[in-house]
Amino acid sequence: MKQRYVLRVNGRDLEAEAGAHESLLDVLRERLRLTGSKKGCNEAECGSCTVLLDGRPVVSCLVLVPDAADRDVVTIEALAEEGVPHPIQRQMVEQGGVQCGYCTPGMIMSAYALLRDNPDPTDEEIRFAISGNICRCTGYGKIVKAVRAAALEMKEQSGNGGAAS
Amino acid sequence: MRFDYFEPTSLDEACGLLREGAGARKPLAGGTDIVIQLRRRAAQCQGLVNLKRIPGLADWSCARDGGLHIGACTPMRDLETAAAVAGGYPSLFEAIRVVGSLQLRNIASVGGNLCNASPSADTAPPLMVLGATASFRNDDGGQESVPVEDFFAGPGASVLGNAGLLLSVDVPEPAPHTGDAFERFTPRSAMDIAIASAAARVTLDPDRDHIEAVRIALGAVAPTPIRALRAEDLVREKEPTPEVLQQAGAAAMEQCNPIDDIRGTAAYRKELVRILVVRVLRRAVERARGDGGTETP
Amino acid sequence: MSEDPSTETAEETQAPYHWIGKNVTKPDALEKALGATEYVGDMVVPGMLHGKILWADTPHAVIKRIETEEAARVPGVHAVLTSKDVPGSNRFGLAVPDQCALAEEKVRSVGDAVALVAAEDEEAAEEAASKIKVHIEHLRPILTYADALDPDAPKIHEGGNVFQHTTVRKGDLDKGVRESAVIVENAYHTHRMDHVPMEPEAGLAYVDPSGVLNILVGTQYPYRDRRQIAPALGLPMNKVRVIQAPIGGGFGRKDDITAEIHVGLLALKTRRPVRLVYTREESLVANTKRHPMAMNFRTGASADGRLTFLDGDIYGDTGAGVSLGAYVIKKAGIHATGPYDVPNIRVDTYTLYTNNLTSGAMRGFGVMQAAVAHESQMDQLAHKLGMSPLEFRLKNCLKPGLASSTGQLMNEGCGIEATLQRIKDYMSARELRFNRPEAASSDS
Ligand SMILES: Cc1cc2nc3c(=O)[nH]c(=O)nc-3n(C[C@H](O)[C@H](O)[C@H](O)COP(=O)(O)OP(=O)(O)OC[C@H]3O[C@@H](n4cnc5c(N)ncnc54)[C@H](O)[C@@H]3O)c2cc1C
Repeated sequence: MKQRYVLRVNGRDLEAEAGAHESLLDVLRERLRLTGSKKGCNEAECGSCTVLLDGRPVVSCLVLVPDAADRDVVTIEALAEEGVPHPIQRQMVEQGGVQCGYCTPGMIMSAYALLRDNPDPTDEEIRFAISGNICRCTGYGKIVKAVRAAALEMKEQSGNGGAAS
Repeated sequence: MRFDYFEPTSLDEACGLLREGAGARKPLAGGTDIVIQLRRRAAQCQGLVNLKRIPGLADWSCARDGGLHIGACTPMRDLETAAAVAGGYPSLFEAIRVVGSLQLRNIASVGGNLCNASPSADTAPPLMVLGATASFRNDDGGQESVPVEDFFAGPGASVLGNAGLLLSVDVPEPAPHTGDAFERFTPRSAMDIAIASAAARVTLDPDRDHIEAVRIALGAVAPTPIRALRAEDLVREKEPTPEVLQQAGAAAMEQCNPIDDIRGTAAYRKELVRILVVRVLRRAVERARGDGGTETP
Repeated sequence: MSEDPSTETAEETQAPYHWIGKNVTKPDALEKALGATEYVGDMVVPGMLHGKILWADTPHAVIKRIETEEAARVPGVHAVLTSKDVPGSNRFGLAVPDQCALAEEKVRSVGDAVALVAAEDEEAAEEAASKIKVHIEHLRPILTYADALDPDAPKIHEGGNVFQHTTVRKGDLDKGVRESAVIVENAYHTHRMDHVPMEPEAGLAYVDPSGVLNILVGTQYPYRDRRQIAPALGLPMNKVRVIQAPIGGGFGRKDDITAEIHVGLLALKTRRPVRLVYTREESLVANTKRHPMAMNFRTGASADGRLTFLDGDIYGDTGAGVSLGAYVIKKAGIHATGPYDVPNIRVDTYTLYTNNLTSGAMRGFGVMQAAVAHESQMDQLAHKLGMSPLEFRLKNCLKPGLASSTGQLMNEGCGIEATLQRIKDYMSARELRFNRPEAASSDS
């Protein structure tokens, strides 16, 4: 039995027909065609489906769509602003944190939530924040480096912004 | 995997829906156990009753002298990020912090962890040693409470029955000179289920030489999480010397009843129990003396 | 916590190379970081159906009969196919075509595909697959090395269960034994391993207006895929086009055929685009893994710490299909001496069919398994000799001018000595020591 759900995704109200048993991940991917969130395991093990739900990183593969209705969903597609990649996205590219790319969106969402709450994390804190995201290519070193570099870049940006105003 | 889906907004409505289902409907909290069980067809049910829109069920509070009140649907991450929990109930904090991943703990609830009644449920041993009680609606809709250690009936089974609902878990304020700790062993260091775990709480005498009161609980080494009562007897009223702690470890090892499975052999789990019990006792004593710092989230 | 500079990559090359020694930004990395890259499982084309595989779920059996009628009646189902519906040879395989796209008279592993469904959505496809009834008669499963070597065991393939035997011979083994002051002999086992690429296998196929079967797939080798797909489906080579899609990790796994033939067959039969995406569980059960190996090694060294001989047997479990197993296991034999100079060698390898999951290429390609054995042997020899395990390796490692087990002369590309030296410098700078006492034990 399908039903109409309204999801507030990346700041826009979107409607989707879905069964209550469907996951937020499947609805994002198959109905709303937001395929940046990946399906690596569908059992919360790999983290490649990570999105923010009311600001918190969650594994969207285990969130049933009625549970996401009327709540704020932020996906990887929303991070770049007006075509300008987010510093985490840019640093992932520059530091070599992206290889096959399949874990990358989920990894970036976890890092994004971290830097929002903790703009100056230690490497330990970065590793803890991404410990629910499996990467099989990089060995994580360059991802940690990218998050560290992004934190620095964001700090400089906000510093400059403050000075200019 | 298809099912009817209900979103009650009151406890009475939720209990009514479960009673009507006569066992064919199950409560849904975070869904991190039940959704996977349904997808794998390891659990059968025709309907899920979502509890998260019932007011108050996901509320928690930590008051001086009032202890810690945890609404059944409280996401683990809420407690993990609260300094009052990390500081006041470190064993619970340590257990929550290792459950799955951060993205999982943002949806997985403490109540779901207990109601799923896995022998390896990580919050069970700390809640048992902290003397927590579980308050619930029974099958007939009546309200009851039991100590958490009496909540479990076997692997996957609790006192709740078909239509029961866990409402909250309440942890009393610890006595002075009390410390507690939790440790688990997993083959992988993240995203794994314990093959053995242990929690301990000790209360020292005012001179902080002797153990006045003690509780030890073990996970993943019996059909339910268990208290290690013999081990407790061996340390109560004693000075916590390394020898005494070793004796407790050995007794706990004798008392547990683990199985061989894909994660570890029974013999290995027993050996782990011996080591984990010594470690949690040592750390609990340090904390009770006030010289074991707690981490902050 | 800053990174230890000595663990960083080697010195920046001063040579005037364009790319070598420099950090290069991957051209497709930004698109991936934006979440914009479409892997096959992300792709949708108009009119697309969804494919589903019914797996054998039993290791060794004779198929008596398959009932598909009930499955075909599930609303939304467009095709339910078994081996009878395959227009070509139905065979594939990288070394030899010993795997069936859809199982014919026999099931040889739990990861054999038995039937295929295409339907309007994944749920209908899944429901239909669950309604296919396969009537089987179980055969004795061959699951261990001993089973595979048992001459009375049932044959998994007609040629018997020992697919290949290779030998490496060098020098004079008896002489090596005579010159040895210490000898260690041990048995080693390594386990089966899944590559677990983050992207589970997926394919999308459609027949274009010119009649060409197009298959989009995250593969490591489109042209070799085509050489296997075309005969299996009975198509001329120029009627199959394999399009390399973004690949969410392969690690050797996607060297083999994954979803290509199945999704291609469904598209041919339904004349609709079909997408087939594995679940993680399917990915774990089907397709190739890293070979488990059993290695019995006897290795000797002289009193002054020189390796004298290696006498070894390696058994590799390639599962129900050879895939690249014959090469992987042979390579384990060639590399059984590791990066060390061993004058006298006898190594035999056996590639064994079993009813376990098929094993194939995975990072290291057999060299990893051999390393478990030869490095453990090196440690034990050093211990018996009372030498530092590092000095013992430095003394015996392949230096330019020396030859490998098969006679390949080392040139300047052999970096083992420099690597070991660097470890030595690192350890001495930090006063690091080995856990194991260096003194020779009394039993040596
Ligand atoms: C990748 C992964 C890693 C995990 N790692 C760990 C780990 O390290 N340690 C660990 O202990 N667990 C782990 N788990 C298991 C799981 O996340 C926890 O048990 C979690 O706390 C369950 O809570 P939930 O809210 O998701 O429960 P749900 O799945 O919603 O419910 C679980 C069960 O309890 C019932 N239930 C829920 N709430 C109530 C209630 N209030 N009253 C009555 N019945 C109720 C449900 O009907 C269901 O049967 C892991 C799970 C996954 C997927």
